[in-house]
Amino acid sequence: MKICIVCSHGGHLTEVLQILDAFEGHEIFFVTYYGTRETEVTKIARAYFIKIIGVSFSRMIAATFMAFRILVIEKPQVIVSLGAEIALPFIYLGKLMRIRTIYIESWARVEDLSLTGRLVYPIADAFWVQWPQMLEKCGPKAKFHGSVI
Amino acid sequence: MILVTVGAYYRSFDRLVKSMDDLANAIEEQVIIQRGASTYEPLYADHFQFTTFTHMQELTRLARVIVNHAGAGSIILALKLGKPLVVVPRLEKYGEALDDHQRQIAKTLDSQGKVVVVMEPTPETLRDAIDKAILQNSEPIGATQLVHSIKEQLKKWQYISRQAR
Repeated sequence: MKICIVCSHGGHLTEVLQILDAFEGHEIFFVTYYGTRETEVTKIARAYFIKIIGVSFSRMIAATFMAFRILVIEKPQVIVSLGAEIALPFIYLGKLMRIRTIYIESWARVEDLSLTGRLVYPIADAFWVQWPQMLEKCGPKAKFHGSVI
Repeated sequence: MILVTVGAYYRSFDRLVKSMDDLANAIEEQVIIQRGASTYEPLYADHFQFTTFTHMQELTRLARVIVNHAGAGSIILALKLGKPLVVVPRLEKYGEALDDHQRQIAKTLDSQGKVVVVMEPTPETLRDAIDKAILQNSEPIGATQLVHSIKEQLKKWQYISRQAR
């Protein structure tokens, strides 16, 4: 299958790098932020880079159009994200475009969901957390299947 | 060498950068600070804003101890290389983060004996925490279960989409 991995460029990207083996046998491509890690990412797979969208509402709107373009061009069957807010346009558009989505809440979240987590909980096809104690804080859809470390 | 990192985040973390710089003034050991978006410019420590992940890995390997902002990626990097780790969470009340999730993971890992947490960094509290962290033993950990679960989920969806055709 073709899988779109979307994550921001710091810790969330580092988390993704811990689980790359999970995508063996599939075609993957990344969507992440511009920063200092472009070379590192493009060594692993093709990648799209966008500007940080969390800083303003207009950036979020612009990113939504860009996300739409990327999803139309690439037609992935699955979108995987471990956060952060960069996941929002992709998971929402993915839902509309009937692309399967897995959202795995960051390992950084031990006691409560991130804002992104709360926003995608209702629509993600699979919603996992990385600490078992988080299950009490989420709805029944949340599952615990281990962590990146 | 003591390596200090504050992450890729767009907000500053002067509390940590300044205190570690003051500590660098008081000790012989070299201190290297990745200061990110922080506005304070260190006088005694070596410093830079951002770098590549490969460079960060090299520095982490070379360091005797790591002091960072309790960001998940930075914690993973340090623990995977088995480095003693002191974490200073970015706090919402100082405008360093949007919420206090870094405090939560810091406290959880501290109670498991994997890191030493410092809430209010000063040269003194940091020095004590570094001495304490050196004595901790972190065993390497992996992502086997999560990798397996993702593979299974993907297989399931692949099967369903073939059926649908």
